[in-house]
Amino acid sequence: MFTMDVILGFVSFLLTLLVLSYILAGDNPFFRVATYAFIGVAAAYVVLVVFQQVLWPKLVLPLITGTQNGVPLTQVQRVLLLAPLLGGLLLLTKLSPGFSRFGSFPMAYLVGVGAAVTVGGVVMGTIFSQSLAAINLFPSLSQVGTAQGLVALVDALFMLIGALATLFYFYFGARTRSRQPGQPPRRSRFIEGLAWVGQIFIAITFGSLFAGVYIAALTALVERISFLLNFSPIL
Amino acid sequence: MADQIRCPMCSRLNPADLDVCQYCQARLKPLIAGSTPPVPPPTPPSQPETPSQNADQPSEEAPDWLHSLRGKEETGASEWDNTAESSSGEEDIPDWLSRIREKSDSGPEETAPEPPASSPPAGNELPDWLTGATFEEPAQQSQPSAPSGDLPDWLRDIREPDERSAPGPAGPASGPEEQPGDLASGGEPGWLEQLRSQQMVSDSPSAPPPSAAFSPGGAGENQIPDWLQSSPPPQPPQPPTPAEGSTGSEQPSEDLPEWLSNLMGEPPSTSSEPSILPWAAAGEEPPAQTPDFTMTGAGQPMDWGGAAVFSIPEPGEGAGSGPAQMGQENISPSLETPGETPDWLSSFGEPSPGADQVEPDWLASLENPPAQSQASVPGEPGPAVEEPQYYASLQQTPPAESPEPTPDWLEALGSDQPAPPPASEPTPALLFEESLPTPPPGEPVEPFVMADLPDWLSALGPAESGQAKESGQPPAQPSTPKGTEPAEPAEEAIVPAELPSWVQAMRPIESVAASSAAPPPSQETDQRIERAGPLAGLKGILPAEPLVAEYRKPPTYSVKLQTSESQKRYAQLLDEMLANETEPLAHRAERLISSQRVLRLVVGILVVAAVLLGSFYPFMPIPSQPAVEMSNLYNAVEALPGSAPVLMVFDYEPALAGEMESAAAPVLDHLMEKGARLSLVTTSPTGQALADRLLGSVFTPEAPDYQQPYLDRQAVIDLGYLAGGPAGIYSFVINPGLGAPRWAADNSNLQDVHSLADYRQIFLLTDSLDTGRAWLEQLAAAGPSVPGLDEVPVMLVTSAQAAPLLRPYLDSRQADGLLNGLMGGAQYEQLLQRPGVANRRWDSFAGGLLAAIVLVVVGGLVNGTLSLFSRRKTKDEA
Repeated sequence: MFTMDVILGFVSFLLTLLVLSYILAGDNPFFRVATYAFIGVAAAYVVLVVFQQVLWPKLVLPLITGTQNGVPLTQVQRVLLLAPLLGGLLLLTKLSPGFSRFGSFPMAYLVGVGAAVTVGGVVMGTIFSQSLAAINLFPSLSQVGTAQGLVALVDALFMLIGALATLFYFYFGARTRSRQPGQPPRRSRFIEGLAWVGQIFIAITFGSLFAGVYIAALTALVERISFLLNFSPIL
Repeated sequence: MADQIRCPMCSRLNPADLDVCQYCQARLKPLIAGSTPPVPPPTPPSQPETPSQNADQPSEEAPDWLHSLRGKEETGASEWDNTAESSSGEEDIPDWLSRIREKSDSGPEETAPEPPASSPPAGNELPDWLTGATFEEPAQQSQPSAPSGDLPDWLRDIREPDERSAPGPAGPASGPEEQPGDLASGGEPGWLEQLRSQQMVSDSPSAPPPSAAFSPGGAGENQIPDWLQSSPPPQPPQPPTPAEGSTGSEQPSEDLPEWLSNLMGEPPSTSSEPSILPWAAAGEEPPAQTPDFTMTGAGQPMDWGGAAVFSIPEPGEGAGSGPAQMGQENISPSLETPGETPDWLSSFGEPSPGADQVEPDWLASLENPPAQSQASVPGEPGPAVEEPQYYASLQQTPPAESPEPTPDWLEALGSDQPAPPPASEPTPALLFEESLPTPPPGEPVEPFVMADLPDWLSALGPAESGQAKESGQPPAQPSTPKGTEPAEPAEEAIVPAELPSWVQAMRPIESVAASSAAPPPSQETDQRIERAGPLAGLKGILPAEPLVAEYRKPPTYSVKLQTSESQKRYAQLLDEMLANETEPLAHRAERLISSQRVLRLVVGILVVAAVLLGSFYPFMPIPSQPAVEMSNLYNAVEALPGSAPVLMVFDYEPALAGEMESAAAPVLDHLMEKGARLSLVTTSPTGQALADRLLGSVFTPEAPDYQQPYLDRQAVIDLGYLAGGPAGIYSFVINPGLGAPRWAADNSNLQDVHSLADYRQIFLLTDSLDTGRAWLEQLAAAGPSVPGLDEVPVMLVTSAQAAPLLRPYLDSRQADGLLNGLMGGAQYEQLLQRPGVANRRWDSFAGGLLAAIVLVVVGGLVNGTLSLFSRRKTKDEA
């Protein structure tokens, strides 16, 4: 009678109630039990997944069998597999204060590779594309005369002003005014105006982000309440 | 005082057992005991050897110094011989002695006794009274004043024999051919005549000229009384050059009294103690008794004319055989009894009222000659010892003009004295670093208590007064001894006597300070007393030790900070200012409407209630007009051909699984309806579990046929977990077969998929900006490397919180479609016309939205109202 689904359902129902106890009692031990269990289970699951899907099929098995995903590896490929093995062992030396300096080599490799990939992606995938996108919003001159062109133009200008205003909001360069030597350094009025407009756009953005977070959380709540409502008859 | 010794330098009392003064480190006991062989004194046959007898059997009251003097009788004669004959011995003879001898050899021409030289002979420690003694007034001897009631007995005794004895020719003095103290034809004192007579009787060939003892220039035999010549002086350590005229007859060492010979310079046991009296060497007190030499041969005290302070011992009373006996150690007591000290001599040992309540310094100097005396060295100044006060008195006190001529031998004593130093350059006295008692300014320093001094001694001759004038010292007032007539006023044309240099060097600081020309004691260069080296005790010499070797205690500086009241006040103010800076500003606590716990509870209950009511009472329909980006997604999926390979990326967290499932379920259902071959991949370790959960939520209990292959996992392949974040994504994008851990080329779902460009669509299911942006960026970065990858549409299925952040990528054409949250799912289900999970949760979702809207509006209104009233309050308070 008690199938695995029922058991798992019951555990889910219980953990859900423990988490919802935060509304009534705040940070209480029941809530902490649920969070600690989640963290522990998640950590263990991650370890298993990493070993099962990364270390074993890509490092251990190829070194042993000489094949990877059924594809035989050459001797060079097999020798090159020693590099990640050595790097992984050196990373373990980070646990010891005396030998932690040996783990700096693989750590540096990881950081370097990751930084290179990230920077390339940001440059190619965000900066260039977003800049082009902002430029492409403006309609052509031929389309400006039309209604759609005009609306597009307004939208483009709005987008451009918003983008520039947001950027200028984060511009803090200022110089002392010779006319008022006793006054603190202040930005120019033009920049001050754009920064003020940028504040508006930033505020709207933060508002939308907050709304999205609330909606996500509300959706999660709705899902959990729905689960409780659907599981309770079973109990 | 029997167990104490007076220091000859500082005149301070020291215990008798000490050899060195505990104050000034001067030697207390002369090192002459046993240093010279005793010289048997020539004894006249008629004269009983009383001195020797006395030496052998000293009376009970005879002081030790007397005994020590007597002990040297045997060595006196030989010492005189050695001293006179040997050239090496000449070095030990002081200058004054040599000069005496010279004068004695030269004859009686040199009669006028010159005032004692201001600079004493080098190293000669003879007291001033002995060298520059006012033998110039022997007239007093020939004209003895009627003894008054104040005269001491010894003086009376001296004068009485003189009065009785007619002045005759010179006595039988064999030694000195001429008597010092040149008297007139009838002016020779009787005592002197007696001495001469005695001397003639003894007529010892080895008898030294007693004048040598008195005349530093070696006046010769004629100037030395017989009684002095009879006592052989001890061998001086560094005898000065004796007079050339020293003959064999000049044997002062045999005839001079021992004490005198000691002063002349005995061969000291140490190099720095040449002339120390025997009794001083014995470390005894000065003899309280009159030396024998002070007594005449008749046993009467000799009349020195107010100059000499020694008396001739009484021959009948153990004083010896006249002058021959003089100088011996038989310095017997006074005339009356062998053991009785004359009053005048005993008075020397008594503290004088005007002095330091102790015996006179001159007598003390005889007892304790300067320990570091360099008297034997000719030409050098005297040691830095305190000169007895009588020295100064002799210089200060203008010698009274004596009606009687000064004996030749006495004058000769001062004639050969070197000229005193000019007054502008006074010889520094013997000083010590310790402060010495200084007499009142202006008050002359007198060595004697005038009440106890005889006339001839208190009334100094013109030589002394003249010497005092030259030295710049005020003439000392003559002291009138008891029972004697007052001396003549000193201010009547008194010529200061010329003190020998060594005598001047021994002057006490008082005499120097009293003089106006005296340099201030602060002159360190002149007043510094050498303490090391052979010149220890002297002053005014170059330092033997370098100044750097002298240890001086470093000055101690107070570490305490000296601050004034104003500084303390300023420091206090600064401290208060700094303390105020660290103190937090007083902040007025904001009044809370309610506690946070109650607020949280209320809000929570309200939201849950709204969610529940909404589920039971739907009040908000689903928006029918979908968004453009969602329409594009729908259209893209709708346009998929059958069995098209589709890549689905599950990169969302379990916390938002409910929302993601609400949004992705209709899309997955649509893909299943299209028969797409799904390839699942994730960069999250929990992605594979979430994918299975999503597939289970899609399936309806009444699973349609098109969903069956997915239930069998035939049309779905799990490519595994991509490790490394962006690097793993990039690797997978470049080469999916190498990047994906579970890439199976032989899988039917991957039969025509070799690269990522072979997929017809890529669905990105994410709930965060990071993962979505990472996939989009790597796809854009690897685009040039993977041909055709730009043609593959990318669809975004995101959570409501990530949708605003990922929308720019949609506007930049990096993503082709966007579906966010439960609302998007609901709208997508409307498009599919298959209500699903999203439709079932929409009412609850709507209720929650309504509650949120109400809370936001109400909270805003309340907060705005409260802030408005608080501003007014602040303005009113301001």
